[in-house]
Order: sequence, then C-alpha cells, then structure tokens
Amino acid sequence: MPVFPSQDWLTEYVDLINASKEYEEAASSWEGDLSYVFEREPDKKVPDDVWVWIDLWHGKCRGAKFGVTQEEGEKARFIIRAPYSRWKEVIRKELDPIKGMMQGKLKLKGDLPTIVRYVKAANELVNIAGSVQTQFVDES
Amino acid sequence: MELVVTTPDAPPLGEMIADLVRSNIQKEPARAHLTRGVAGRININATDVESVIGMLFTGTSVRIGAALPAPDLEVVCDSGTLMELANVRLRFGRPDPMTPEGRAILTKMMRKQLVVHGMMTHPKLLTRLQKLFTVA
Repeated sequence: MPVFPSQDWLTEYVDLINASKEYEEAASSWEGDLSYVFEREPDKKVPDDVWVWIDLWHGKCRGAKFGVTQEEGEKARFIIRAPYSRWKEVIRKELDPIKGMMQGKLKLKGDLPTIVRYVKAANELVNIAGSVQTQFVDES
Repeated sequence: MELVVTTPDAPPLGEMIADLVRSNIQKEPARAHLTRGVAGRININATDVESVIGMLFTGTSVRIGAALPAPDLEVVCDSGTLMELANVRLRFGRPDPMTPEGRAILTKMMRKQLVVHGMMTHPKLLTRLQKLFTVA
C-alpha cells in the first residue's frame, strides 16, 4: 500500500486519474498544471513542505513530479496548499475541498473563476485521491 | 480607487468571494460599473461552512467583510449551491431557465434550499450581485 506522501502514492493517483471516465468528462476542456503543497508537520513525520506537480490536460494527467522544488512548483498555474493533516482529511473525504477553501483550511493560488467553473473536475480529483489505497506516513 | 475592498474582518469566504469578483472584473472590465452607483447591503450565509459574509455597496465600491446588520438582501444556501450560483448563465440578470443549471437553481429556490430574502424589494441589487458573481 503506497505511503502518503510519496512517489508511489503519486504514481497510483495519476494512474487512477487517467482511468477515470468521470474526471475525463468533467475536465474535458481543462488545460493547466497544478501544484499541491503538503505543508510540513514535523510531529507527523512530515519534516518539510512537500511539493507535487501534476500536468492536467483535457481530462488526462500528462505528467507528474513528486518532490519538486518550491521554485519549480510555484510556476504552476494553480497551487493548492494546506498542512499535511488537512490533506489527510481531504483524502479521507472528511473535508470537502471547496468547503475547505471557503473555510480557509485549504489555500488556493491561481484564477478562482476557473476553479469555480471546473468545480466538478476538482471534486473528481479529490474523489480519486480518496480511492487510492493509502497508508499515511504518520500512521506507518 | 479599488472597486472591491476586503475589510480586515473578512472571513475566508469573504476573501474568496472578493477574489472571484475581482477576477471577473479583471477579465471583463465592463462589469466594473456594477460596483458603482448603487448603495445596499448584502449578506451571504453559507450554512454548511457556518460562515456569513457581508457585501456593502457604497455607491463607489464594494466592501466585503463580516456580516452586516439589517441587510437589504440575504442569500442563504449551502456551499455547493453557492458554487452552482456562480456557474449559472444569466438571462435578464436571473438564472436562465433555458439551461439545466438555471433550472436547478430555480428548483432549489422552490424547495427553499436557496433562499434570497429581499429579492422582491431589491431586484436591482440582486441583479448586480449575480452579474458580479457569475463565471459562466
């Protein structure tokens, strides 16, 4: 079972994105890359911020990189960041990402109208993350 | 002068709505006039995130912050409906019943899943809000 966050987890996530008909349909016209930032929580075995970059294009994931530098990650069209334990809640579907943004629990950098327009696609990305068989690093 | 101002007491939802309105104006500068020439108070209550924000139309700008006393308009719905409202195509300043999204909004209004207090007495203010808010 892949550990979150890790390259193995990201690989599994990307495979599931590319297998998802629901995501493909919801993001059929989406063009743009995205960085996730899993913010450090040293007491939960995440000693440093972890940057993940994914390239999303017309309902598919064309590429992904785990552990990119902040400088590289910040070039993405969108950045979504939150502490590691918030991401855990999102992956466990205990926190809806849009609600999380409205509550300030997740921070978005990028064009908000685009995210709002593709809210179904954003929710699908989270549903997919939730379907990865995950071992969380602080529980391993 | 800034057309959309976020006050220091704005909750995260207020900052998000301000960001949305600013981006909409930036992409379509013709919408800027919607922030001017009208005075009124609007509260938006996103029930499932337990957040209420206030939008004060001063006549020259819109100030977005904490909930306002005695609003002219109050929009009450859950966060999902708020996103649907932002995605609905408008016809004469109202959700277009010719589109599935517009019909979904109107159905929610009939079922009181979306309540707009003051819509009959302040129709112009509601139209401005919807035009500023929509990304469709």
